[in-house]
Amino acid sequence: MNKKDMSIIPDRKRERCVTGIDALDTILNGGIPRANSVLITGSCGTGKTTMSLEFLVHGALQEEKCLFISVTEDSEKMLNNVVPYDFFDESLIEEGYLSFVDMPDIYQELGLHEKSEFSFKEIDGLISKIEEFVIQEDIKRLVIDSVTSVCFQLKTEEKIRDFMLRLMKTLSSHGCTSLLVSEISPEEPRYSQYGVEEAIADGIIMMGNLERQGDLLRTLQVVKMRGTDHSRAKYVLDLTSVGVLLVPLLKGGGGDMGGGKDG
Amino acid sequence: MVDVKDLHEKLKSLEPGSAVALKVDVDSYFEVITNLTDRFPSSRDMNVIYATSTISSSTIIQVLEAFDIERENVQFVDAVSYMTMGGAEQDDNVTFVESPTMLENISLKIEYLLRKYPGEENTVVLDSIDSLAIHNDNRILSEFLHILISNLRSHECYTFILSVSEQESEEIDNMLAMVCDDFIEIGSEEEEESSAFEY
Repeated sequence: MNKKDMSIIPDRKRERCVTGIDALDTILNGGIPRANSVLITGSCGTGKTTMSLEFLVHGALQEEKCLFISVTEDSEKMLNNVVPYDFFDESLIEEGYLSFVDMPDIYQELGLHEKSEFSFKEIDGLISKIEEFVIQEDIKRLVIDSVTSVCFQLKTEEKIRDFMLRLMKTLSSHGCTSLLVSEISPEEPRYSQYGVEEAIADGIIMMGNLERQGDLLRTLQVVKMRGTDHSRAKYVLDLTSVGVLLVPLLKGGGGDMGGGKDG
Repeated sequence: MVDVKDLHEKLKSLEPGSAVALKVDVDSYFEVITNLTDRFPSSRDMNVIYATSTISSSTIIQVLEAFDIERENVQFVDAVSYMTMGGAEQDDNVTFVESPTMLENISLKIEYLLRKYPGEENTVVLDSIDSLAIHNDNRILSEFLHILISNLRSHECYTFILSVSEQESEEIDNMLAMVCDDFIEIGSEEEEESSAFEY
């Protein structure tokens, strides 16, 4: 080990993007380091969309411009299906602090709607379009739900890597903190569908369903977050009208009690 | 042993953030419940969160109604009705947890209610440690109590954990002694006299 490796690197205090989800901010030692791109990964029904939306609503309440790009679902339909927050105010949308864009509309505008696979040039166009939104509206928080669906159009690992790298670099360069929703199947032994996204992301928040003695618990675990110390423990979460709530997963002195199984 | 009639006086001296284990004999059970859901909280204008894994919330509500107790400020976390596949009657003041084995979800629902109905002071009743012990391993139960009470202390709640005298267990007594500030054994004078007579 050389001298550099052995030196104690001071904890450089990076500006935080306070998620507004109290327990998550505690886990992250104050929030997500500003301009990080974080993969919110998990199987269906684990609360990825709801938590991502709450992140934006809290941002909008702090008068930060926030954008939700919906890829798989019409954003209006999605809004009707999420938990009605007590702290949500329609005026956040009317005043432009919270905006929604449907990715199919972007595809349509870029002439990509009938393409089964995007070329590198078309990926360029897509990233430029997202950057245009970010610059024009001075977007500070962005969610893409889901990035897996975009990657589905890219087909090759090379293109996925290119897209993810450039997307994250672009967002970061504008000081935009992003949550990129990633869908995985319950049995997936990794954190992203293509294995590329997880390596590139600044952070990974894993959401899951834990089966314990016939009970199904929603769980959350921060696996990685560049730029901050954080807890790596697993928490149980509840999606409520006052927002996402978290408590530590009980271990009872060892393991996942009774052979708890992640899904 | 404290006579159930003196319980209110005894509780008056509690400080915010206190956690008290109440060992109750079966005959005093409903009187203790009415004390904790009515007399004690109304003297300080508090909200009550009543987490039950013993009897269904609908039964407790019936008892409160029978005693003409205002239950507007009493919110229930019911961890027993779903499990018994009956009596899970929808009520604005009741939040259900699927099973008493979902201890984390009991904590989450209590936290939810504390945030949803923020009061200056809150009473939280956990009824009972014995019924939770039927469904959970003592190690996980101990961990649950530790985390829950630490959290409730941070909210400055008055926490009461009920146990039933007739189901006495040294392990549970030790568990409660670890996390609670006070341990009160409650009975009724009449019963004490008759017990003394029997012995």
